[in-house]
Order: sequence, then structure tokens, then C-alpha cells
Amino acid sequence: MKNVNLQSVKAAAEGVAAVAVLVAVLTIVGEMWFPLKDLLTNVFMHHWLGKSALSIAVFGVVYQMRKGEYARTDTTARSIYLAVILSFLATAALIVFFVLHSLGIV
Amino acid sequence: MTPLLSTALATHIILGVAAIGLTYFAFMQLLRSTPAIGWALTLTTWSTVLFFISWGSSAYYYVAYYGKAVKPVIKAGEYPWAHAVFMEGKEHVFLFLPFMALTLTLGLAFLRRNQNSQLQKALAVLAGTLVILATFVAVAGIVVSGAAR
Repeated sequence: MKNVNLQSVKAAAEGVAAVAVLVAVLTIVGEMWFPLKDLLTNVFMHHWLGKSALSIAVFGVVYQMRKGEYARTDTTARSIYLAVILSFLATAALIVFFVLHSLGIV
Repeated sequence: MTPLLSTALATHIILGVAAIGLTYFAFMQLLRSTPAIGWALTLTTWSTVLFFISWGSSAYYYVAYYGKAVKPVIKAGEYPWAHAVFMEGKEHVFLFLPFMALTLTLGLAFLRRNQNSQLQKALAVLAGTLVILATFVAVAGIVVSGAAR
């Protein structure tokens, strides 16, 4: 991995942030609105395979789109922190949702 | 469960736990004032590979077997919340872990040639986050396994 530049690192971090948001939104909306979950199942054979495929696609697209953007150390660090915060928020949202869902509240 | 399914499940567990361990050691390096970046990069490169393989093997087990054979048992048993909360949580949180590992690896590859304390700190936070979330996924897997028995 000889020629990794700062733009690649920043783009990858932004890709992580996008995937975290995508997974949380797809999952919660899919549980509340069955046509979305059914669509994922019909296209990808299983809803989780659909989310896996879309995660890979979104990461790839965001990375490709953003890797040409100018990056500094501080903006790259900020993108990494954004990925971290969104990963935690997505995890919390998913857990809270599934607890409420299992209790029949949502 | 067929031998292939058993192998897929075991591969998912063993490689996933190994990936967590490798990431943890890389995290500990990043906390040092003079980290061995080359060593940390080797660790995270392997953890990235292991996370992706673990993803693949779990996908086969989950789609081919879990939904039909394990999930109904858990939902009908004493601990239905093991699937409703822990399995659902784990299967979705896992989806961003391999990309976090990949980002960490790219960051370390850059850091090896361009030492920078600000970037090192951010990567340490990323590594620590990956360890925490991956450990949650692993513990959730233990809860699910226990509920299935």
C-alpha cells in the first residue's frame, strides 16, 4: 500500500459515515414500511444481503466521488471523527429501535 | 447443520474474534507517543481481510440456515429478545465494521510515511471505536448462541 494519500483516507472515512447512516435508515425504515424490506428481498434474495450489497456500493461510490477532493490533515481527522460519531449514533439508533420494536412500542 | 454450514459459522466466529484482537493491538500501538506504525499497519491489514472473510462466511450461514432453523427456535423459546434485539442489532452494526477497518488501514498506510500526531489521534479513536463496536457484535453473538440452545 505504497501510495495512499490523504484524500483516500478522508474519502474512506466519509464512506464509512455514509454506510453507517445508510444501514440505520434502511433498517429502521424497512421495519416500519414493509415494501422497502420486500423490495430488498425481491432484488437480492434476502433483505440483509441487499443491505450488504448497498453498503458496499455506497462506500464505493462515496469513496470514488470524494477521493479527488483536496484534503488537509485537520479536515481528514474531522472526517474520521464524523465516521466515528455516526457509527456510534447509528448503533444506538438501531439498538434503541429494536428494543422498542420488540416491546411493541414502535 | 451440514459440515459446510458448521465451517462457515466457525470461520465467522474465529476470524471475527481474531480481527478484533488484531485491531486492539493496533489501537494500543496508536496510543503510544512513538508507535510502531509499520507493525500496526500489518495488524490492521490482516484485520481488514479477516473482517471481510468473516462477513462472507456469516452471510452464507445466515441466509442458508439461521433464518429457517435457528431464528424460529429462539423466537419460540424463553429469550425471543435474543433475536429481536441482539441478532438484529449485531447483523446490522457489523455492516460498517469492515469499512472502518479498511479506513484505519488506509490511514496507517499514509501515517507510515507522513507522521502526524493529529491524524494519529483520530486513527486511535477510530481503532478504539472499531474494537468497541466489534466486541458488542461478538458478545451479541454469544447471547444469540445461548438463546438457541
